[in-house]
Amino acid sequence: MTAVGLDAAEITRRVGTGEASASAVAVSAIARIKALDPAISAFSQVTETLALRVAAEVDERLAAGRDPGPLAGVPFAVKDLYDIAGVVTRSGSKIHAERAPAGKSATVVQRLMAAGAVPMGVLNMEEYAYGFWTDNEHFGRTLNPHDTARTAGGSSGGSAAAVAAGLVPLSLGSDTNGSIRVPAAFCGVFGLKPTFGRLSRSGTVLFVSSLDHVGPFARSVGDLASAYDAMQGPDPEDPICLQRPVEPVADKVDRGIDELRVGIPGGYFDTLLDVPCRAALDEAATSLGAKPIDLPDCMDAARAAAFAITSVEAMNERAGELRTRFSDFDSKTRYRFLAGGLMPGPWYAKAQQFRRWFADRAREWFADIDVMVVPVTPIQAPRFGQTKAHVDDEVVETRLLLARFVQPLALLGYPIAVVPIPSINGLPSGVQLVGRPFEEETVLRAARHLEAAGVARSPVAASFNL
Amino acid sequence: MTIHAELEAYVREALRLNGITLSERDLTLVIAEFGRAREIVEPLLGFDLPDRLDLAAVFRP
Repeated sequence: MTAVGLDAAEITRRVGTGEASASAVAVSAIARIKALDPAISAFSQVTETLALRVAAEVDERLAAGRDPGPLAGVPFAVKDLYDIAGVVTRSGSKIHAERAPAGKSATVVQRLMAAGAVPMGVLNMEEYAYGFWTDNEHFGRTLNPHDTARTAGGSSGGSAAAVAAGLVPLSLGSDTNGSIRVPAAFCGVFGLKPTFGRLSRSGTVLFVSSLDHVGPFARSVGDLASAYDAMQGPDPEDPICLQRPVEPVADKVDRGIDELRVGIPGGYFDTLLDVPCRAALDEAATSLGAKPIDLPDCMDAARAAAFAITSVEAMNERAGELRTRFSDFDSKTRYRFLAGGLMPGPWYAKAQQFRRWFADRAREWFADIDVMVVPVTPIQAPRFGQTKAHVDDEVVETRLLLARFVQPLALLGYPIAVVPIPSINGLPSGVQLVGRPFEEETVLRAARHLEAAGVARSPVAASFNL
Repeated sequence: MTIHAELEAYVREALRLNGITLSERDLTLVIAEFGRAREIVEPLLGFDLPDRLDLAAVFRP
């Protein structure tokens, strides 16, 4: 059988009913990855032997009459910062590529496999997750499946591109300042950044400890919710993972949005937005019945605070390597890491103070709404080498644009679903649906509403729909 | 002293105190990156937070 275009739910159904075996799905997916991935370089390692072994175990469970799990036979792949037992976790880094293979898999990887999902490999990323282009000096550049002259976004570019090209129906990425949200928008797939601390980060390589989230990509809201459910739960090996029981959402995403109050802010989030991205935002907001809301005029400061925290904590994570292996860093990240480490202490302290103040303000504005709808990026995926963009009659440096709408919200740790909205020019745009802490169900219900209304769609990229 | 000269002096001293030695080319690029970082952080540094906001509030459960 071929897994092209099938979402996780359909694969699970076929495996569960015996229409297909997990092993056959895995063989098909491996063949597709080998044939098509060279065109986009989403994968940095394919774990063929592991995939076939895990798929065979799923088939054995079925043959023995045992429950194969809610993701039985579903191929998935992970960003190169998740441990997979027996595989070297490289974090997009030449230095980490010298490390020994991981002794065990990350908690969330273990949980996906326990749910029957089958690990196909490791996905390309920016070195140590620092950047929005997935243009890695050591392991190559990941191309956008919708237009290979354009970036897939980053830092989880491989994770989004692999799903957009239909190589796997499910992948994992991480989001610090937007690294799930930006590639989801650029590649036209659904993405979920859960509440900070909701999913275990044990067995992942941290970039910015107080901002890092892990989360899934998929081509449907149902798949996104199923993956999130499979990964939930406390983890004694992660001090940041909250002691909160599993709260399944997959069976609740179809509850509709009748009682949900959706707000759309003006001001900062309505400024510097190109025509396709504005059209996508308007379409989503109209479908959700969003009402205008006012936010405090502090988003530039919020972005700056997230930047300061990122700079200092990133350097803290990598300080030893920077001292001893500076020239082995990607030349695009080494100076950023080092410059961040030189920030005066009061800048970091003020960023943390601002973070508390900002969180208090966010609680106030979310008292009157359940979901806030905002754009993901001001522009669609830029071409590699594109340093400037025309937006709102202004010429703006691309590097200042990509994080504009995602980085301020990074400070809050709120759950955010990204929905992909196709544009008439053939490139996707993305919209963020932001909810209160631990209300993943709410943002996924809003996402499902947009999907059911035909506003949000994630077809396999045309060139890969083979 | 110009702003650039101040930045350069600060970066040189901070690297020295951290025991990091760089080539002149790398040093130039770090100084440039630090200058960009300083620009990005400016909206935060100029933002008036309430006086009563104790830093310890950050760690309040």
